[in-house]
Amino acid sequence: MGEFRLETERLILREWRKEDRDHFWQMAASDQEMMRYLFPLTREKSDEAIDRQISHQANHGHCFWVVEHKDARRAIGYCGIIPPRPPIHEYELGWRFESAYWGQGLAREAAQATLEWSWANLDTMTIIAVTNEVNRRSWGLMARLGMQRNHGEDFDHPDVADGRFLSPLHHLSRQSSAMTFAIFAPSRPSRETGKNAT
Amino acid sequence: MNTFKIETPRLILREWREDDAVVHNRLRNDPRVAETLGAPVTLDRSRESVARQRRHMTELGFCLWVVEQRHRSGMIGWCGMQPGPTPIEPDIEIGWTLHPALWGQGLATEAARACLDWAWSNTPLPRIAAITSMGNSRSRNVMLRLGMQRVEHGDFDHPALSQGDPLRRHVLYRISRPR
Repeated sequence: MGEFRLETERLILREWRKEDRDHFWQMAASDQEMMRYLFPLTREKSDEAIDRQISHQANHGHCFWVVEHKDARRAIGYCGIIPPRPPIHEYELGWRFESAYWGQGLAREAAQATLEWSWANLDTMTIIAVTNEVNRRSWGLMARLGMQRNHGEDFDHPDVADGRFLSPLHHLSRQSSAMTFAIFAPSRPSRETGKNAT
Repeated sequence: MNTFKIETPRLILREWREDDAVVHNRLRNDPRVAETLGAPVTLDRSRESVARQRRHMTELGFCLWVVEQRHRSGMIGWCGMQPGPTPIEPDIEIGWTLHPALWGQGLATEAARACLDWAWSNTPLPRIAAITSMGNSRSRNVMLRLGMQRVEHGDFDHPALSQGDPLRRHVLYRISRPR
């Protein structure tokens, strides 16, 4: 099986490599902007999270992928989709980018490509994304992607911190409300993107 | 184990699973759905709805089933039969709710027609009713396409809706078992 690779105008979404472990850890641990939204993981937890992504990729053909910037020629973030894992019964979209790269529409570009790939390659009617009330950038993007918040699902997602390293603040402040956004498959599945990305 | 399933050219109707409550809630609370079914409900209410349909299935052998498309897994709505509310008792009512993104493709009619066929073959019911709020012309059109007829003087106020609720006034349609 070939290596996964999905290209957008400015980005490449690809599988994990050994050298990504340092970047992922440093990003979580040293990016002050991101620290506002992320519980600082230990290096061990950080590596475990990566191990889970590698295993998602091996078992399901997708995961939260590494995002490389074509111009910078290095990893600047992570974006992708992870399979349902009970008690969550739906595919979950997520992303995380270095704060220096925020505000350029890169997360949107990566997330949009991930959604299109997912509709073309996954057998599901719904995809969710989880964020927290205070992470305005995150839920703002979810809405721009066409995802809808359902108030009925607020507070409801059980804490599965181990599985969801891209759910900012989820485990940081349980009192502050976790919000679920969901998107429904387009009537005509998009087949343009991602079909050859194997 | 016999798993219940009704298949149509484009759809599959199946029983409820407990984990269907989340998508039920999301569908039920979609603004365009809430416009016809009433204000959004809590996830607990959706869990109760799922439990009630599962109970109907056990006790009656039918319920409002989960509707999925054949080409893509996942609930897109529900369609089937259940006991009607007090004013139309003891009639059994047929009902449907589909995701708004899939409206206009004849899917509700396809699902409901399969339910009626199933009911005539598998139950002794002499007739089946359908109700909707007076202004819900989409649903009323489906009723007409199914060959249902509006019951003269059958309009009623839905007992679960409060006075002043624009959805309260309901119309009643019926269809008799074909000879």
